[in-house]
Amino acid sequence: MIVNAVDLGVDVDAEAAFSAFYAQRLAASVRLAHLITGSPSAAHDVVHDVFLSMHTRWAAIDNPDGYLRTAVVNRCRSVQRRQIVERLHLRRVSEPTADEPEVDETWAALRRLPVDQRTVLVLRFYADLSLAEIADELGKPLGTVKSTLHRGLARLKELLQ
Amino acid sequence: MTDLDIDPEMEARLRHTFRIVAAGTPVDATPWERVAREREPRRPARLAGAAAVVLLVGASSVGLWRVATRPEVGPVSSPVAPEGQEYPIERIPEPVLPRIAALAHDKSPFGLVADGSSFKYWRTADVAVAFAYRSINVQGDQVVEWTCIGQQESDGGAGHLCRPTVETRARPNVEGTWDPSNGPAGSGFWRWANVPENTEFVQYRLGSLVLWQRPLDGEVIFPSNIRNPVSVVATAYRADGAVLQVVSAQMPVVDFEAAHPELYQQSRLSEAAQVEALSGVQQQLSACLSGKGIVMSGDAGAPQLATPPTGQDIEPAWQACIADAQRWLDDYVADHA
Repeated sequence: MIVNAVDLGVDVDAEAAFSAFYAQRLAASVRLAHLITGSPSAAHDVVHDVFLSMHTRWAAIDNPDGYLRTAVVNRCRSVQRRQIVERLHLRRVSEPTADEPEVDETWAALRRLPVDQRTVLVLRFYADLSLAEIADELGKPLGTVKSTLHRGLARLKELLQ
Repeated sequence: MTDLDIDPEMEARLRHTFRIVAAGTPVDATPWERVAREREPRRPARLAGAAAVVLLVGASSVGLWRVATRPEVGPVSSPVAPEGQEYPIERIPEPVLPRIAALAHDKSPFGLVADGSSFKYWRTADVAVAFAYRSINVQGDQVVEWTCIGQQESDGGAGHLCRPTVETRARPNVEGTWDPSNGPAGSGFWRWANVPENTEFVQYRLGSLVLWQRPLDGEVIFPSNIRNPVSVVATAYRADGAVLQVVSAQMPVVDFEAAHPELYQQSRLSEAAQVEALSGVQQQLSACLSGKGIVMSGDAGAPQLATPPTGQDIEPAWQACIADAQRWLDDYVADHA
């Protein structure tokens, strides 16, 4: 018996559109997740999970780009709790990321910040979102985002001194 | 505060660092079709083949494998016939991988202290050793009990994943878990730990995968794949064909965070302080449990195993020491946040 995609209720056009969306947005999403989680492997895990989740409700998503970024950011924040415990037991050593000592030093300090502070810094200075957009993205009051940014920068300065 | 208050030098340094780190991020550009395909749930045909291998291995390892409890297999005496393939499980005693070794070989977080009296082991139709236990860990700034489930791997290690026990209770009596290290496609187990009394069999549907099982000591375990976007439905049938309970979920499950925000709140501590706090909580738990007669074992800097002396119920000490560790953590956070 030959079973084709239409028999299985698969919308071939929607599948193709999703596949193209995945191909176009994968790299940028992994980079954003890497900056928030500090781990390329965790970033891939997060991004694949988000794409799988989007795939199931693809037809109902009005703004795929907005949905993707919000879902990646939120999922990154929740995987941090696992990584903290891993770090305690495995005592992993941070690897240098660039040939520039200042970049390595700054990245190492960023990775020591609480995830909420690092997330706000990434969204402000990498994703170029305004503070109001970040508040919207994280579902937090604008004042909370401002104070988180302020504390993150202050802590970063301490760590870099 | 406005953006204008930000030190321009610091802003430039951050922008440059993020740009360099992002540009150096390795990206696995596996096509979507392959990503989706690799996360397909395991199929019955594979289960049958793997079961044959497991039986051969078991037969050649006399002394290591003793069947402790085994349910009746084969046709059920219900007017409602189960659909799909039978997926039998059997309880086994502590197998080749002792408890502390299982923890030491773990590839995933599992907690600071594990309850040595809570370990259970099974052989399933396609996994030589599946196991479950409970542990204590810190999430956000909360000391919480976790429920863990996993499997021994062929290389002698173990892959497990733990989730807050309260999360597992969010779906009635069901514990599901997965771990990428557990094998292909992030597979894992789906455990219904307390099926209704008088259940003759449980019918299980994971997407298009249809299996059934007789409960063993009031629980059933099926292969799972929480990362794959499929629905799961388990139905408990009585011998006369009556439906006792239906449990269902849409995978992947992503709504626990909304249901239990207190478990997902981020710590108010820096990462460095969190690591110190985790060590402190572990020491506190160890001292507290020891003081109540529980035997603690395990290397420093590694997970600890808490084992009550024969005949002693660990539960009162377990709960009291979680509360004790929470008080210690509250003080630590107040001093260091």
